[in-house]
Amino acid sequence: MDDTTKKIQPVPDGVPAKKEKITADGEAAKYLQLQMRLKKESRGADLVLILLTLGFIYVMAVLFWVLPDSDFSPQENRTLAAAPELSAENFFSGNLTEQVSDYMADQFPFRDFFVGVKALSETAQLKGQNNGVILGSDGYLITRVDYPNEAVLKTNLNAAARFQQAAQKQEIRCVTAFAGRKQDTCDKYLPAAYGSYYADRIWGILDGIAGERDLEYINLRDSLRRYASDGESVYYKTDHHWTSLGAYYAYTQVIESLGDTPLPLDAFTAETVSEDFYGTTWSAAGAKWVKPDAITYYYGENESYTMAIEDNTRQFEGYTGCTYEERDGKSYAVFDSIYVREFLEEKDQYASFLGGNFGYTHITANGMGERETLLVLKDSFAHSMAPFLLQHYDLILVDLRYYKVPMLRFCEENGIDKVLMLYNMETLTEGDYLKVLGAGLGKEK
Amino acid sequence: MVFSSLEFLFLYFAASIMIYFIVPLAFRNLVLLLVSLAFYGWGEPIYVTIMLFSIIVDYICGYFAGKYRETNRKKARRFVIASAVINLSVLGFFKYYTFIVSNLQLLPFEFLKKIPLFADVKLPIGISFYTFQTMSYTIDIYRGDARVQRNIASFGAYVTLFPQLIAGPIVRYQDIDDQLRSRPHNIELFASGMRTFICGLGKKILLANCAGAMWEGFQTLSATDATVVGAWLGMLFYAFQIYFDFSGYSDMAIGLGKMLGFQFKENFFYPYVSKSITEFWRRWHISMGTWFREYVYIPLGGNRCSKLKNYRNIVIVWLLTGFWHGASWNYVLWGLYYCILLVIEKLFLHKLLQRLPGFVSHIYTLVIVLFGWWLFVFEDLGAGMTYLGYMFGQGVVAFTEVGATYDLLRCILFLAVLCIASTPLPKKLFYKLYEKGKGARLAISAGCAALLVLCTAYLVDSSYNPFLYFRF
Repeated sequence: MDDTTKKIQPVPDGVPAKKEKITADGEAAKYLQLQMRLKKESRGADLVLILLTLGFIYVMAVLFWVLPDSDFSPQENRTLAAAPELSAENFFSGNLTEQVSDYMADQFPFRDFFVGVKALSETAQLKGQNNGVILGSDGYLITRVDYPNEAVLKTNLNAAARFQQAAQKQEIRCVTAFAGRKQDTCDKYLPAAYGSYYADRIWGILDGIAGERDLEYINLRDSLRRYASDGESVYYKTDHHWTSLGAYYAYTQVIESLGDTPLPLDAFTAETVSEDFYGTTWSAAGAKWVKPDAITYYYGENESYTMAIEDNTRQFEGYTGCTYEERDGKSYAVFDSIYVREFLEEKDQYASFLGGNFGYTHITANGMGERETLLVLKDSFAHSMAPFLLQHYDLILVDLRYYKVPMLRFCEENGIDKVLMLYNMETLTEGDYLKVLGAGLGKEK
Repeated sequence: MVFSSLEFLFLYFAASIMIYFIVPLAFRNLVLLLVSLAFYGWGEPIYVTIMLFSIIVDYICGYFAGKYRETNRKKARRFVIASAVINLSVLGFFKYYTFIVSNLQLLPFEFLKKIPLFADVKLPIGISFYTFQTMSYTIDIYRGDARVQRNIASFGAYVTLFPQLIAGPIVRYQDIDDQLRSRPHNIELFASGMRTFICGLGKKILLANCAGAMWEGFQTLSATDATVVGAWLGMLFYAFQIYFDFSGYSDMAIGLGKMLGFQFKENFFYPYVSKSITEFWRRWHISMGTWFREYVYIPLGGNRCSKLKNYRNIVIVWLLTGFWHGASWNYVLWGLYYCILLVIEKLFLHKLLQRLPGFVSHIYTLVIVLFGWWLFVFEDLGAGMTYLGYMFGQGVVAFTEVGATYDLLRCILFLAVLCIASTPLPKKLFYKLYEKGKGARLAISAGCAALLVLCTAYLVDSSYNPFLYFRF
């Protein structure tokens, strides 16, 4: 219907459409005519286009059906969506649509390759970050959080302060240490325009709350930041954790507050156990071109330990040096080492320290006689510090996210001599995990 | 299902296009109807019945309107009215009922409180688009602008046509009447459609979604982190998001249409280069503007009546336009906002703007449009006012802060791309290149395929794929 234009009347605004230059349809028609005029000459290019695009679509579609599904993405460290259940109920409830969508995205052929392509494209547009991770200088991949949750921080610090004071009343030495996120500590590698503004801000807030609550704490951010700015590798480039070296520097500070003398670094033997560690921020950023980190273990003179992890799911069944024991209706994985080297062959290599995150872990040294027991209330940052702390104490490590018991009573029952609360800013602002510490301590002041 | 999704590209499109080209010509409209119903039913397994109902209603109304239009004008008219009443009732119930009742309940009458709200009835996808399309059929028949479609499969194919089903453009029946009866299928058209489709896909995924992700960050600004720069940057990204989202979707629809042999009218014509609001509305969502002009404004008398009536007509059209975008006061205000501006332009401003230097009237238009989007995006007027405050330094922590400045700096290239992509320049360059020769055209083909791969990468990477025009 080419004659529809003749009927077009002035538009509602009433301005007469006089000498209307060119319309959208006019332009489209002009270009379509051009394409049709050149159709003989462009036949080859047209066929190539159709072949490439439809080819891509059909090849991918077929591969999607043919290739077997994977259950788990090591790169992202998460379970992938499985094929949805095809039932009428599922369909009419509208769930199926969403499930198919997730399923396709998760099981798409060459998924990791595409994720890398997207990261590369974002970088090429000089956006400087991808999926919330800043591509810092020298290969540092740093998660960006402008405004961490202050309310959660307050709740956590409040509970920590009450616990610290209650413990000290019972004459248990209780040391609190807060570590920085990579954003806090490695700001040297951040773009100058971003810098340490937000990190300084949240640490200022932390300082303020701690002051209000009379919470004594060791600021591990400041000290490690100095090492980082001197160019020492105190945090992994591709992961959010500190390195063993970073953990060592933190240990020297913590141990003094606990009333002992730190061992010098050369008292330890270093072994590089992996040179292909791709951590969490690497996964999130999809920055395939960034080189992997190395993982170093530091061994003391006596390295004979027994480590018992409460693990009712028995996930370490069949691991070397691991046996399972049953006590009081619970399963404990008992290792003859603090390292679970199987993880070095997997994506999540940081989990080789103490086997990853568990609620309760008990480590004793063999053949060193009776030693003091240190309770560590911690997140995963403590795992790479454990090798150093073990030179002085037997350790009980508790992750309050998974192990919620009244901690003062726990100290009594387990003969705890000293307590270390070791948390990094991410855990402190992520959820109110420490809140349980305040439970059973009477009414808040 | 939206076009910019893996399941559309690699399941639905792959399958539909194959079936469509395998079956003989005579059955292609039927195939279109079936695959389109599958497309719609996939997202709306229950509400698909409403669409079928709307198809049957207008098939019948159109049939009788056609039958009587020569012999019994009055009778024919009744069927047009029946079609309008039924379609508008369906639209009214699903889209406006809860809004209207909940507003009525603000009045101090007890009996109003007893009216059920049906607040959990959700809006069927695309209902605003397909009810308008089916109505246009019966009206066009009555007016003699189109012929009766006796084949219900072909008529059903028109209504359900998946390319434009859920987000337009609003295709008037008279525009594709002939195409439903016969249309060309050839390599040139298919290739041209593929290029248009991929261009739209790129607009949606690479530009709109990325701009949207930025806007989402700024949208939630609060008293503890709001800055003037952040608030403006946020609105800017939203303006780009909505344009590339919607025009990208229209391009995809037009491209898919071309592959299937249809030629839909254009829906956008670089609205952000406009030098007046009048011009902006000739370039933005053209198919909707046309629909309101053809079926509301002109039947009311348009501008061929007294000045007073003319203004009344303008007000009616713009209130309806605003309200069509959503059942919320902000859309009504948004319509009114443009109504007032258009009247002012009509009175004197348009003449003045034409005399001013181009960049002045251009900036004027962009500022007006930006504030239009501010009205548009905040359904909660309170939240909108707070955000507006931020834009003018009310309740902010600072003029700018590290985060906003850093985002501005790191997005400079992206913003430049967004600006350039809003102008006719890319298309001009594209056709310059296209005319250059075989090598250039081969390069274009390779480029399009690469763009498709890139879009796929973004889709795989991210579940972040909201589609803005779903609500309408």
